[in-house]
Amino acid sequence: MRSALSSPQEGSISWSSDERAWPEVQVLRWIGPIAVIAALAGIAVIQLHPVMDRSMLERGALSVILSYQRALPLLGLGCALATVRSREAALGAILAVVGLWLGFAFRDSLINSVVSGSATTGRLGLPGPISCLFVGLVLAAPPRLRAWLLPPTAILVGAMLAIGIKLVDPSFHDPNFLRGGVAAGVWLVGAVGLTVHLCYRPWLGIGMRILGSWLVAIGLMLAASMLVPRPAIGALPPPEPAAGLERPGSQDLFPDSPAAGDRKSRFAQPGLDPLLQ
Amino acid sequence: MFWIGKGSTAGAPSFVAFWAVIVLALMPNGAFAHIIQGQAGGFGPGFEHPLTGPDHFLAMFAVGVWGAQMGGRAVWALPVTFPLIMAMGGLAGMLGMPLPHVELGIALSILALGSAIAFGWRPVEAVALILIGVFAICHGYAHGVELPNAADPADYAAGFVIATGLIHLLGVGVGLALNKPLEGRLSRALGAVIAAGGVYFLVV
Repeated sequence: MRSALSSPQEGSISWSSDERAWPEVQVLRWIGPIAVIAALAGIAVIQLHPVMDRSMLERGALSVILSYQRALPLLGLGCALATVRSREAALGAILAVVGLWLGFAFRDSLINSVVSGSATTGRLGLPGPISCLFVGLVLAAPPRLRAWLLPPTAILVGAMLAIGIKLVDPSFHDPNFLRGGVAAGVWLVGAVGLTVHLCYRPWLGIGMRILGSWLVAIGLMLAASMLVPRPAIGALPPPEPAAGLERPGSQDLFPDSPAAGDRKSRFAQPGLDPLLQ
Repeated sequence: MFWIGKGSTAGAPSFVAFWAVIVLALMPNGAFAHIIQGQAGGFGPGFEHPLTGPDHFLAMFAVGVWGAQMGGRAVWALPVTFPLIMAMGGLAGMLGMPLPHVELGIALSILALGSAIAFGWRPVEAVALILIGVFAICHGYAHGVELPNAADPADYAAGFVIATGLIHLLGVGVGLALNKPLEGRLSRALGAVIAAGGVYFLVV
């Protein structure tokens, strides 16, 4: 078993001899790459199907794998699980499933709490960025801290995945879409985790931290881009009129109407800020 | 070449003084180094932007090379810090917070990072991180200002950050490869070329 996984400056990797004594364990170690290859083939087959012929199961799977907002946090979680001890990785995987269940169980109340007030559309897109942010922090953290941060993050990522799948479900009620999404998510975490675990080298610790910083940056930028209001089309200020020319409409077309006269005096209210007036 | 000397912190004062004079001489011509390309798009344009924009590419690349040249924790600390602070700068830009002389800061980042590599400057890690952080804010801010106008800001941001990270990795790889041959002189010569690029962006 891997006793410690960290960057070259912080520790070293050791492989105990008992693992090499069990040939079936060696075979099991290749499950990750095999799963990656098999699933890539599966994605290619699904992609070859015409869009209209795809089942809800396939659509659910693709909605997770082909969406970087959902795929990136899962990829990061897989990497994080691969860089901690086996017990911690197992606990993290279990907690991710628990989070998934919690997300499905309480999704309605969670979504309802978000769908209120302004910028609702932006906030509905936040599950992906939130997952990216927290998974990135776990990966960028020192190995000891990573082990502590991983369990709560695994729950969060699972819950956010559940909400994210539900929000993009076009059928609203077809359980196959959810099954496809969940299966794809579990596959992604498992395949990436097992593959990274197999291929792990000390210098990959650097790559993991860099990946973590990317995920944090992506999470921040995604969240901000969803929450910051975009400028409306045609919201640019009108050009200033040329000197000596009056603005159209500045003249009183109806001198006898109540709108004519001193506008300032009509809007003047005692006690009000002159700027507001 | 004057900049290919014995790389150490001993040359830091002359290094700083030399480039301070150069920068002060060029400041009136504050260059508009960063190429703002109007309406940005989705993931593809966001990914392409750092790769095709020479100013951004040179700065990101230099961060990786400098980290590799410094060695130790700096190999990963610099490339990890840069995107994080860059995201903060991006947020500031998106929120419309004022930050003057961003383009000058971007051009200076290329010049300073290239010079640091060329002189083999190895400051205390905190100093390097602060320097990197200041430049990262400038780079992030410039892109953050553009983001709300993008066709798909979220996709654009994701592509942009991933491409930036890949350039860092490229820089680290090139830096590690060039550190050994000729006692690192190749790496320093590369830094001089980057610094020359910074001068170009300042002047033009």
